[in-house]
Amino acid sequence: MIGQPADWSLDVPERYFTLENYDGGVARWCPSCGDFAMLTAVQKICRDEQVPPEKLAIVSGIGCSSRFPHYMHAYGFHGLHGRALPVACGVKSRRPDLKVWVATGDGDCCSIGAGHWLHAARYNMDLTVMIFDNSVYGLTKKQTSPTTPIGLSTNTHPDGAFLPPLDVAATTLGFPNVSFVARTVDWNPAHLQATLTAASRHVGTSFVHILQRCPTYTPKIFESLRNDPDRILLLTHPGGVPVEPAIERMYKNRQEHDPSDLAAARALAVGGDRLAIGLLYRNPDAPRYDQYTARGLGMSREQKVAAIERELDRFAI
Amino acid sequence: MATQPTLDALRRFHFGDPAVLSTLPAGVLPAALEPYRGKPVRSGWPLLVDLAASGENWLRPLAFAEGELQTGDGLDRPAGSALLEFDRRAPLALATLAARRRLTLARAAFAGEAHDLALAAEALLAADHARRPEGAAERARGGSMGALGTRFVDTAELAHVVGRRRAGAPFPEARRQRLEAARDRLRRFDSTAEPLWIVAHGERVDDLGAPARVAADPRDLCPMAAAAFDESTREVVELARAVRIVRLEAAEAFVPERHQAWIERLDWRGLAREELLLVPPVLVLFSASEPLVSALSSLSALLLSGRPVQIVVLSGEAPQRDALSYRLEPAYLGVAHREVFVQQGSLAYPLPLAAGLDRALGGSRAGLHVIDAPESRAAADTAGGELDAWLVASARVSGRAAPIFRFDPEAGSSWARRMHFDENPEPTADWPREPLWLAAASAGAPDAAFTFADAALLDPAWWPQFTSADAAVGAGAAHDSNSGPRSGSGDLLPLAQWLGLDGEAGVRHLPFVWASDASGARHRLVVSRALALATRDRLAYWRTLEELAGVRNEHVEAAIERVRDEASERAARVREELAASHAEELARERATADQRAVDGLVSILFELDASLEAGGLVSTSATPSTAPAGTGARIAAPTAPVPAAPAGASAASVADPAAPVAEEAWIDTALCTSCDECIRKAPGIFAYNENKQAFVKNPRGGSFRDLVAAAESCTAKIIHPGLPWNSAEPDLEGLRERARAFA
Repeated sequence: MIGQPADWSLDVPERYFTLENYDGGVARWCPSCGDFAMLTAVQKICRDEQVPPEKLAIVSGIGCSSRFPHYMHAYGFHGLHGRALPVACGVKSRRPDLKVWVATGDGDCCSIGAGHWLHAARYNMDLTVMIFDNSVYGLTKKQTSPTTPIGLSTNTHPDGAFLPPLDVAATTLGFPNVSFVARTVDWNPAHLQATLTAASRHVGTSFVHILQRCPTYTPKIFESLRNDPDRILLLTHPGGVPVEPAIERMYKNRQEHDPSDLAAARALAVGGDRLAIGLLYRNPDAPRYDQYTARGLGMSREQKVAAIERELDRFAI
Repeated sequence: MATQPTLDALRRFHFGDPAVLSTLPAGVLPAALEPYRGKPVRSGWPLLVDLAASGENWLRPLAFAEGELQTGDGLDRPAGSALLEFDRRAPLALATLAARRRLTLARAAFAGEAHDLALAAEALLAADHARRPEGAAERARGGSMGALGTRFVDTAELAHVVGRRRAGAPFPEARRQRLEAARDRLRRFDSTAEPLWIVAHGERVDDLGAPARVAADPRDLCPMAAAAFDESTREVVELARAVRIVRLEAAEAFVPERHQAWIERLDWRGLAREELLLVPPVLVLFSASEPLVSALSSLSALLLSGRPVQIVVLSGEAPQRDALSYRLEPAYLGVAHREVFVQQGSLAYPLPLAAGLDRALGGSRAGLHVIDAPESRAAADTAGGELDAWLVASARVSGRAAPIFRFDPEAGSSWARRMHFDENPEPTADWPREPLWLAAASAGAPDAAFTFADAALLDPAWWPQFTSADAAVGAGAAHDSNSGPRSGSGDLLPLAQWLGLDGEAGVRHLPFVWASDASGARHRLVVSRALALATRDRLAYWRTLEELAGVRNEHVEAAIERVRDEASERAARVREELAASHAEELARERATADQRAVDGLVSILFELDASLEAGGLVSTSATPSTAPAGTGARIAAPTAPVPAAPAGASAASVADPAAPVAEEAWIDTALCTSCDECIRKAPGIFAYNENKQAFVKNPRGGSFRDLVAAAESCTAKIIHPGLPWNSAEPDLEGLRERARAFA
């Protein structure tokens, strides 16, 4: 009919998702844990990008941070210790349509899972990896982790941690084929969300190193950073993490950093007196292994049976 | 060199005395086109059509595509592409190709959906089958396991193990039949189809590769098109029924009492837009405006019926039997149907034309495409000697004989959005200006308006309406006398200027256009009244289109004028007011200056004796606030009331006015890390906003103690408790002390 919409026919109403659609129940972390900030940020990003919950997979290893999948209304995989990344790679390699987030911690990812960490960076599948760094094993009640600063008293080192800590971002930047590394802090929700948004939009493995306060075991460890914004160096760039002017003004020390400059990124990540936050490095052109693993996904049932028959026939006597 | 005709003879010619007809010089051309005489023009034709190309790339001028197609010493066109030549067949070929492209895209897109839906129906039927006794038996035979399965598995044993019936009853017979029918219909969907032409007797469309039906009488075209459209929708309506049935069934939502009748009643009016695009388009061809006029009532009926039929009208200049009658504008007629896609286009501008066709065929409305196309390529040659046919068509656009516009009701509800008008040369002017060719001094040549009469000079049918006013002037010799618009006889005026005259002056002056002949000599050709009025008619149509498109709209201009007047009036008023208040202020200042000087002196004197009651005296001053800052403040401080200080507040909080304490509790919501602490501690006071960041929903929703506790437990340290609202709360003093850290 002229002038009338011709769609009084059957139409499936459009879906719109609110934060509640991603809420997987009451989160049980210690009161005022920094992890709440990440949970909210991820929910907000999913809401803003309107990702259907059935297209969302959250994978984790073991640790406080790894409780994350339980609190998201989405597909979840609470894996083995250190094994968040291989599980996520497996999910992505056969379900490239899913948006995969990985929640892992400094203990989970950087010690027992360090081998997977290296190879996940190399595979560069389309994952968004959040590394929650509270400098300690929290779930098992305060043991020294790879990022524990020298001198911090823990159950394993009552006289203070002995070895110099590794820096998550700086280490990740040393891996081959790494394509996205950023750093942020849990106590600045706007910067946290902007960073995670940039990471989730990056096609490839994006590592986000998040300094996370643990109110129970390391309540003071980031206190001075939090109270004195001058100790933070905000990285700015048109191609970096976009932040509002109000957030920018919070940090007196700002530096324009081109995220395609790997050498500069490494220097900034290792850092001097100030902790650099923002996008350190991005390479949109790094090869992605999920493009390789997704081959043959469109095969029909008949084709698959035929292929299996063919394979089996090779062994027929 | 011919003799100069007298003004009287010209005047008689102008008013239509056939006896004064003179033959035009050989090879006459509008003077603006003289530089192109006998030269090939790079016009954009031929066009490269490649239906396999994506997006708007399906149609490109070959000249633009040449670079990328060049291989070695020749052109390597993509397989399946074709070249379109500039001729009368081109509009039909364009319409056919655009229709075929849209149809192929839509049907290919639907093929996947049809396949999926058929699979969904199949899955439902398979599930039903498994619930039936015969299904269980089949399972026992291992029929569902495939060849590979039966080789390794003992199916009889397996059936024994898994043979238990699943829950749920089998489908009713009617439902199963319905699903089977829908599945079969979807499976039968064939994505190939062709657009259909409906033409009048005598028109050739058989070379377009699309099927055609021929009507004996133009009046039968529209009824035939309606019937053909209804016929070709039948397949898609059946498909649409199947789609709805399967979708509803898959959602377990099919209620026979509610849906059966609705689905049976479904016809093309109920099709969604995407489904309408699956119907092979019906294209109607009117070879000229006249048959369209004879079929007017049936055309209106078709356009108003809502059937998305595309009607192509090949227009051109009608034979000039009666030059004084107004010209019919079929496109304008189409616009009157309000909700019909209408475009008037020209082959000289093929890309907008093709874009319009494509847009119409991608929509769900009827379309009327009035296309200015040359009668034949040879016609151009008889007109201007050896002038490129494209230039003739282009001249008709420039002369406003064939203005270009598009009226697209789907683009919005306002004329500004619906009307698209930008492709015309100089769309804001009455006539485009063309450089007037001068043989001797081509640099700095003056411009002249290119009117409809200039364009008409290219059509021999109009030639009786021109006569030469000059003895032929030698090439280049007379450019000095011809450069001004009022050269030669003062009674001759360029046509564009003449059109601006009213009544009396129009009779006194004779209009002319510039022309040049085969030898390059320039002439002023006096235009007959009939042609001059025809030109005025075209101009009126052009102005109507301009106004509809929002170019030079009189209402807007009047409104702008009015707003400008109002603004300047307001500015003047404000200026006056400011000046008046300034003068007033000045006068007051002068009057009180003495008083203030005395007050200042008094204050200083009183300060020397602190025991004196100073406040009363100072308050007699007319303007205490302007007293010298140091002295005034020092005297006023002890007596000034402290508004917010409650009884018993420590002196420090009052004495530090630089850090005022807010009354109500508040939060830096943007910095909230959503840690749930405050919500858990005081759910009556705090809540999350839609971004899951806390705000104070009710500062009195809990005790001050709750507020202070929440502020202390907030890891982001962003809760500010403010001041207690209930002075009866116990231990208020201690709480206030604790709250001070978060002020």
